[in-house]
Amino acid sequence: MADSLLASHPARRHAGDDALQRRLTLVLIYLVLILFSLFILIPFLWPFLSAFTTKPENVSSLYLYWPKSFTLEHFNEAVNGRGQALTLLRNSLLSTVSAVLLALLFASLGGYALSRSDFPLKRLLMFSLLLIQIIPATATVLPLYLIMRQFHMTDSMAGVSVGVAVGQLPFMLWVMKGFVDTVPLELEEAAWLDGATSLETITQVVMPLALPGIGAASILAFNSAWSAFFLPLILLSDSEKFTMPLGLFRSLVAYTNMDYGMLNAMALLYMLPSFLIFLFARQYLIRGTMAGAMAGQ
Amino acid sequence: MTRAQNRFLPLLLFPSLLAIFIFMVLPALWTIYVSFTDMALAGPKALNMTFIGLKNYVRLFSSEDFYHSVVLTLEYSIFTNIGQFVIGIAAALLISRRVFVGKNFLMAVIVLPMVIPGITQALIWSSMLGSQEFGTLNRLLGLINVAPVLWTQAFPMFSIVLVNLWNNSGFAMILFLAGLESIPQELLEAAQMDGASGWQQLLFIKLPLIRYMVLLWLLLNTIGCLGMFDLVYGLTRGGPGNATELLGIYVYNRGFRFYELGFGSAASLILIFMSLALSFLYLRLMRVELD
Repeated sequence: MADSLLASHPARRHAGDDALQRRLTLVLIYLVLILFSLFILIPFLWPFLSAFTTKPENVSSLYLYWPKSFTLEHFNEAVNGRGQALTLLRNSLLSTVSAVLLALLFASLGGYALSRSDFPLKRLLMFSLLLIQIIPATATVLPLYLIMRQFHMTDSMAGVSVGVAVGQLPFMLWVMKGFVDTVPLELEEAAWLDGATSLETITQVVMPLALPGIGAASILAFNSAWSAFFLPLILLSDSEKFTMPLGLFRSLVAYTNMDYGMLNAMALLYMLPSFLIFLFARQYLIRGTMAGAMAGQ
Repeated sequence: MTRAQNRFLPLLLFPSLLAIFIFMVLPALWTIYVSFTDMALAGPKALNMTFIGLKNYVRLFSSEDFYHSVVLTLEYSIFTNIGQFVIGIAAALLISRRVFVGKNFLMAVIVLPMVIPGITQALIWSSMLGSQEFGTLNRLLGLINVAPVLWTQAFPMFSIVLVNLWNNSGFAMILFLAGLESIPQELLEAAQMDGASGWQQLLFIKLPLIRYMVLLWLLLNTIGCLGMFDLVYGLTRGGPGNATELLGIYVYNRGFRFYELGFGSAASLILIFMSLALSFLYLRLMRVELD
């Protein structure tokens, strides 16, 4: 591509051609990359436009329009009116936070054990954990629903939290094991000599040192729990317990002449944590996704 | 490691393994059992199911809808694989080893869709792909005099592939970029000295050296396509008709729309085997070793 322009044969190169070619290459690079950026960014125009502005008469709010004026009315309606955004956000926050805490608790203890112990089938176990993680949730959803029903966890926030937490657990165990691996065993041994119990060593020596890693893992876990759509969709039927993605989906399906201004106001409120993560913790997310793709390396 | 410590460790691991077994392994095993019954989600067959042997599988393999769904899923994987590869490798080649104004901005923009929840992506694209001359895509194409089209109805496969490319090309690019940046600079310089053209460098040096990354992304994306649900379901609900009923949506529909847990489980099991085979390949490739 662009390299073919840069890499002409040295013998045939003239100084003037060279500068021109470099400039052409740069123009080409910018052209392609600007197109690519537009492809990514253009879809975001509509939700912001329709959430923050009033539309002219006789125009559908499903499409882009020239705004008449700036307004916060859509947000007002979403939060205080029929959007019920607060209930939906509260449910989302509750299930997400409890899922993340649950996954972190289990994974930090389990990850510690995986890091510090050595048993015959350990590699097989680690391998199986990855294999289990990779199977898509859609493939095992029907019996999962039956199991949840056995435990009376259908139509409950607890069911969603547990399901979402366990869904991330195999990957989190890998990540936490990796972090504990980086904490030298000598530090623990020193603590034992000072008379600390095993649990004290974990909570007061190992975990503080693995904290940056735990932070990164929590952000990753939060983002995927916050986005969870499939599990709540099959488990929840009482709309009082709906999380935000279900609320959005219900509106998207139910109304034909939908007020997309309000719907987009809700969507933006819902996407706020995602945007914050994007702005302030993007690197964690990229590194975490890479680690997920390259687990075992 | 002291003796007391060693006895303590299995206790710490046990809760995690138990939870994973109950909520992830057991459902997979249970799928096998349910697939040999006529269990239903509700009604009389919900409680009094009977063993019907291989009947579900006979019905599944003679079902046109199922084949349709398998073919759709394959098409979806192939098209997204090709599209993501082209976009991902082009962007990675342009960015790699170059310093230019706006590079950080671009890197940020590309990962933006990856952060956004699937259902909001579906919402955003329902406006992009909207009908008449008002849909954003139609308006853009109108600039070059292309007649407006109702994308999700007229070109459902194109629509869901396009959204996938928007969402996931950044991931492909990041993986390819990591591969390209790990190629030793001297190698490329030597090739340049020997007069290798850009295309030759790409075909004979760069692609062979990042083949590992490419294969990795290929398997991950294909497994992702097998399990794909929210992005497509949110946008089309599998429609129009069953034109975008990918395997994941097919399984969901059998179970939760038609209440046929037994039959749906038979389809699930095929899906599980397909993803297991690909996952196994992927883990072997990652050289996760078994003792």
